[in-house]
Amino acid sequence: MSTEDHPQRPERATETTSKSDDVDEDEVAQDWSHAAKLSAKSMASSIPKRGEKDYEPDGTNLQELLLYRAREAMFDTLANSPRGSVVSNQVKAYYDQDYHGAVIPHAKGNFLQTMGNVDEKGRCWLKFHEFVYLAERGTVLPFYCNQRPEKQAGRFVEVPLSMQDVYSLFRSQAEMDLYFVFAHLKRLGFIVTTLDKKRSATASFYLEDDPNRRTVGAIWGSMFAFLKLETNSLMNVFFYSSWNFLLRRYTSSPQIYKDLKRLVPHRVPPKTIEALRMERARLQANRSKERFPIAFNVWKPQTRFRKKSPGLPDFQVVIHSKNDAAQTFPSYVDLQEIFYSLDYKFEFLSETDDEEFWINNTFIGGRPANIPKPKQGQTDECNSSKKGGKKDVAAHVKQARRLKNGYRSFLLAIIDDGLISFVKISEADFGSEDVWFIPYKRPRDRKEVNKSKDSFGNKGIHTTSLK
Amino acid sequence: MVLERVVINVSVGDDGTVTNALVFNLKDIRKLRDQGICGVLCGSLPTIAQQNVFLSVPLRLSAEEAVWLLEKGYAKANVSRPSSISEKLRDESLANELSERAKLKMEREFERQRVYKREQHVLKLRKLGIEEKYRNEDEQLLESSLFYEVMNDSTILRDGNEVVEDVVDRLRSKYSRDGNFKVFCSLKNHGLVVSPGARFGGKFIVYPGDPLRYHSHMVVSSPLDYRQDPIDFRDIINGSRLSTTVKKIWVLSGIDTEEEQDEEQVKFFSIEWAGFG
Repeated sequence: MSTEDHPQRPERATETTSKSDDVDEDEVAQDWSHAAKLSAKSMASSIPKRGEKDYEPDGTNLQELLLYRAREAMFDTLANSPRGSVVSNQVKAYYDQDYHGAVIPHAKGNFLQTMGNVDEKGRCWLKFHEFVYLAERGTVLPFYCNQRPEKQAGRFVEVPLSMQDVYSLFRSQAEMDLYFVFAHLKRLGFIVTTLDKKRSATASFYLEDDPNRRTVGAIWGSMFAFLKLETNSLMNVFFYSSWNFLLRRYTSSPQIYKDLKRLVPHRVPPKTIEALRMERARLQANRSKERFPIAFNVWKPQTRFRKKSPGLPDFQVVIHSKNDAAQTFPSYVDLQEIFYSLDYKFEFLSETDDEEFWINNTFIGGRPANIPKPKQGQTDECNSSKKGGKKDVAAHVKQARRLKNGYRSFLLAIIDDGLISFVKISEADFGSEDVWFIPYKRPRDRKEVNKSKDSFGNKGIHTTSLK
Repeated sequence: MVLERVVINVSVGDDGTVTNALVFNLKDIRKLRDQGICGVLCGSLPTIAQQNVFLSVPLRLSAEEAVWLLEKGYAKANVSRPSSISEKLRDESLANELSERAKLKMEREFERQRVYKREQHVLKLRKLGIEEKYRNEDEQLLESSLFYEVMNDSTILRDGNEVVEDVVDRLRSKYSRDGNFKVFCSLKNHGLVVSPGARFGGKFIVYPGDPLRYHSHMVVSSPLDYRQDPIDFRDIINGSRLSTTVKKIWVLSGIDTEEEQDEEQVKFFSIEWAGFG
């Protein structure tokens, strides 16, 4: 696409963005073919709906015309959304081959809140995927220069890069896929960082993540954890014998269910802080190289995010490229490996989204992280609003939630030639849940449950005194 | 009509494997669309950068699409390496030339914008009935509002790239299964538009025409070996139930290597969840 053809194009773009604020949403939905002139907000409302397409080509002129219009609308939009920035906002980023990223001599802009590292000289270093992302949305202008800009100021030659140039700098398909997932999440507003190799500097849920210091804890932990895990499930098979039927008398069906349950060995995933830390300590020792490393830490959009002390992430993302002949879907062993390496806000530990809890459970290099606590007013508001809705839930609802949500979880981004599907994979524990029967249900409790059901009417919220 | 061949860009990574083919030129993307090759647009659309529904260049082609285009002669491959740019720009005269050319182009573009903006300004003033006079701050505002555009197409990588003979082979090695390409070709020969289908649990989903206007009808599974592979009953149930709920038909595909003609080798079976009785 050449600029010569559209001398007025940039004006059109700036003009429309200023205009679009007062365009009514209803007005906009009518004419889809002017998509190029719409802002993000009105655009979202005019996404073509299902029924607007046809079943199949029937050879009529009308269909041809509609198709022609749809295509024109699409290509107009693509051609009329120039990439770049106005002179007053321009930020030049220079690709640096040794760093495989970009450096911005004088950085400014909102993106600095979540991206880039500023060094002591005031230069901002972008990782390569951050560089591509910012260049692609026109926030920074991509350049290549022979020397680093600060050296030999007189002699350096800067060459502007096109998007094609920038993409050609990807070193492998895996890196490109990583970028696509990154950009997808960023466009949705999430705060995304790659995992830092220097683990000591990053926030962790685990106290001792330093491989040199964990030995004693690991040995102790492994002895202890062995006892704990195996008694729960596997050993029961050996203790079971058919003589049980002669020795024991079953007086109720729950008893039968309970004994049947013992027959099926199952693994109990860690559910408490102690269990999680124990397992971490036990398994740190013999970690092999991961086939599926965690690609990203992801935080929900927030204004209080700080690059220096981000705290624990809300999600972690692993990438799998489905059409790569060299890759297979993660096996059970791979999945377990991923679960062991997770290190985020294990949401099942804290029923409310309590910030204090997470701040107290965040460590950097084995020491409690000094994350500034949010202002008093904010926490209170946050907690009170959550508490009301979440806490008082009937036991069976809680159980259903536990089964549905599981415990540790991560997001698997499956890439299918440019289309990304996110799948949440979590550890569930069906073995420990009594799905088929309710143990020890005394009539008194049942009455309470019923009563509360009545008082709440058909709202579907059940309270119970079972605790 | 002789079509000018579309340029698809692949990069040979440090490990010798190729990346997926990307297309940056809008005219090329339009030509591909006319061929029923839609690919997937992957880049942020700068004017509406906070959404994932409408995306911009690059257009990412699957390995099957890229090989099909190259073998049919609709496209030629432009091969680069991650180090191509730095190698080219090591030549200082070339770097200087490109830099100068870019500056000139930018100046020309800026001048055009200035002229246009001044015209608009005058028109606006006239409309409001205000007498026009030269003001320095207006000029400054105008200067700072000039737009610098980042191009899609490369001028650096345009020509003189190394020729890698075995691009097609390298792309082929990306197939997740051998039969994929045969199934793809067979679907293309039926005049259908094929796109990635993992979202619906298949290998491909198939449209009767341009996806902009037509719904997709079929979810095509990964090809089986027609003579050897058993069909898992659960696959049939899963595939057909899912497809039926999204108003599509589940298509099992198989490759029969005993047939001699490539075209004959591909077998399809449609399965619909009937919900009868």
